[in-house]
Parts: sequence; structure tokens; C-alpha cells
Amino acid sequence: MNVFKIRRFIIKFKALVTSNKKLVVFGLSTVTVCFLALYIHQHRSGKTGRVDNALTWVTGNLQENTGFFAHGLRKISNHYFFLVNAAKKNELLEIEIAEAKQKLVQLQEVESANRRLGTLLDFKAAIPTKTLPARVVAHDVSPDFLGIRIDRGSRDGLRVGMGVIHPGGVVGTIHRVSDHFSDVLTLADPASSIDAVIQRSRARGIISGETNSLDCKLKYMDKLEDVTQDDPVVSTNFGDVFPSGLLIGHVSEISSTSNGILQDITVKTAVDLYRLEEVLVVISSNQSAKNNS
Amino acid sequence: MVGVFVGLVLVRTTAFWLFPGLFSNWDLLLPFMLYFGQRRPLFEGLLLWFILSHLFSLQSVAPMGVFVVYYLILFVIARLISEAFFATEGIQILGLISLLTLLSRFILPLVARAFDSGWPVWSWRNLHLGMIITNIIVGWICYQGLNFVDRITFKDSRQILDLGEGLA
Repeated sequence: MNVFKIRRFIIKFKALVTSNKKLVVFGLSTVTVCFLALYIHQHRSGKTGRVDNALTWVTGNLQENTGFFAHGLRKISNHYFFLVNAAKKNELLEIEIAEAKQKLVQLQEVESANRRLGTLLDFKAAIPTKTLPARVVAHDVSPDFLGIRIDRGSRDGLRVGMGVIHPGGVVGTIHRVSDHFSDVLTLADPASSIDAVIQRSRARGIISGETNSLDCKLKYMDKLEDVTQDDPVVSTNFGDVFPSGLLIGHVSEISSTSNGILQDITVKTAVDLYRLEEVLVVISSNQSAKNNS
Repeated sequence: MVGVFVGLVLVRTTAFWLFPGLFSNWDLLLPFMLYFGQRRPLFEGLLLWFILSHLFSLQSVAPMGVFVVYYLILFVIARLISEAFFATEGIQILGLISLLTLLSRFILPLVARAFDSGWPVWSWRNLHLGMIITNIIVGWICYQGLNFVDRITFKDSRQILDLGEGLA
């Protein structure tokens, strides 16, 4: 029955609306204005109602997820769609890094050379004799002979027999001289013979190399002489080849046969002959005088 | 051949830091002498022996003449062996290199001593095991390398030349 009444009401309302359009428009406008006024007043305080809360929650979540998705898309576009640019940039950066590394190595090399040359200069200033710096350019081609080649020759005033030294100690003597280069017979070569003394006891002998070894022998050392392990062996001024007191090496092994009269002494060289880069050639005053005469 | 040798000398003398263990044991010219004795006509072999051994001497502090004589002896031995047989297979070459390496450890001290270089002739250090093994292995590789250089430069080996002369 109620449904019938409602339908009758709707029909009557429609008829009224169609017959009084101006009145309806005025009424709707009034209601809308009132609603707007009420709405604005309601939201002025900044507080939200339950419906607004629910709507905000839904939209907020949607925005959150959409934002995440959009961010993901942006990331994908940046990382994959624009990889061409990234690859180009990467190549350029790699080149720059390689160049920077190369410069770093060169700087380190310069620093190392500076340090070595500084040590060499200090050493040159510390020793009393006149010396000439030289660079090691090559090692001996034969495994059985221990020589090095330096970039100074007869035009620089070098002569056969001159001593060659290093801040670490004695290196050897000049063996062969050409115009611009010289070959140095190192103290570890079997053909080498350098006058030496035990620093502590002043016992005297001859330093000579061994075959296929970087160690040396201190020859002609009497059994009665006082020699102990780790004793420093130094150069003498005999023959005016080396300044006296320059380190040659340390005694590493001592043995003596029961019926012999000499000790068998092995000396570990102070200088690493395989790693030499710069040396000093001793231009002693006596030799220069002889050559000049 | 001279170019290959000079290249190897440059590497051996200037890049010592690269393989100090290898380079301090490597007798560079030994496989060359064996190769010349085996594969080259006598005159050409002698010419190469003189040029290379003299160049070698200039790069060492050994008394001038030590290496010229030492490598001449090795060349002659290789040449005499080649009269008996040509080493063509890898294992034969390895055998020859081993033999020459062992002999060289006795010949060099004798020659060096003759030049008064202060070498102990009879010393166990002359028979340094690392040196012998290195020279056998590297010598074999060098020999094969020289063989390869001859092949790519279309150089006829002595066997072919001798065979040609025989047929003629």
C-alpha cells in the first residue's frame, strides 16, 4: 500500500515540477547555495568527517600504490630505455678513470724516482770522492755472468777499473767502456775481485762472486782471524777504486775445513743487483790524475 | 733469424724484472746453435754463429771470446750429431736439447777458465738444476719457434737442400 502511495506522490511531484519550472529552479538554487555554505563552513576547521576519512583512506592508498608504480616505471625508463646514453657516459667515464689511473701511476713513478734520486744525491754529497751518476739500462745477456750496462761511456770520462756504487753499498767495477755506455762487472760475478775488510775486526780479504749465485765469497781469510756471522763487510781505499768504509754485505755463512788454513766465508751482498736502477761511478782523484797524465 | 735473436736479447736484457727466475737461468743462444748445426748448411751456420755469438759477447761482461768459442763448440757438436741423424720429431729435439744443455754446463766453465775469468771448473754450482731444466724447456720452445720462422719465411732446411743435391 505504501508503495502505491509513494508512486502517487512521485507522479504528483513530476506534474508539479513540469507545471512550475521556475519555482523548481529557484528552490534547487536555494538548496544548492545553502548546501555549499554549509559545506564550506563544515570544512573550514580543517577537520574531516567519517566519510571524508574513508574517502581519503581509499584515495590515499590508491595514490600511494600508483605513485610506487609510477616511480617504478620511471626507474625502468631511466635504467633500461635510456641505457644507450648511460652506456656512452659509462664509456667516457671509463676512459677518464683509465687516464686518471695512468696519471696516478706516472706520478707515483715520478715520486719514486724523486725519492731514489734524492737518496742518491744525499749519498753523493756524503761521500768524499768525486762521482758521476748513471742509469742502469740493461742486465747481462748470459745467465752465468753478472753484469749490468750503464748509460755513461768514455765520452763522460769513464775508464776501465773505476768503482761503481749505490746508496745500498758497493756494486762492482767498470769492465768495458764504449763511447756512450759501459759494462759493469758486479761484485757477485766470479771474475770480480774487490778488496774488503770485516768492519769489526779489520780482518782483510778479497770479495769475489760465485757461479750461479748472488752471494759472494770472502777469500783468503786466515782461520785465526776473528769473523762472526752478520759481521758487516766494508770496502777499503786500496787501489783508489772505492771510498773506504762502504758496505759490501754481511757475513752469512762461515765454515772451515779441519786441514785447511783458510776460512770459507759467504757474504750476502748489501745491494740487490737485480733491482738496480741508478748508480754512481767513482771518479777517483788518483785515476783522473793518471788519465790526464 | 738475426732479427729474432736481437729481439730476444732486448727482452732478456731490458725486461729482466718481468721473469727474473726464468731470465737468470736462460742460455738464449744455445737453441740457436743446435738449430744452425742441425738445419743450416755449414757455411751459413758458421756465418750465423759468428754474428750472433759476437753480438752476444757484446751484451755480457764475460771476456771477449768466451762466448764465441763456447758457441762454436756447441755448433760443431750439433753439426756432428746431425751427420748421424736429423732431429725432426719433438721428442728427438728435446733429447738433443737436453744433451747439449748438459754438455754446455761442462764446456762453459772450461772455456771461461781458459780466458781466466775466475771460474771454478769443477763445482756443483755449474750443474744448477733449475738452469738445466729451464734451458731444456725454453730451448725446445725456441727450437720450435725457429722452425716456425723458417716455415713462414719459406726457408729450405738443410735436409731438403742435401736431398736436392743428392738427387742432382
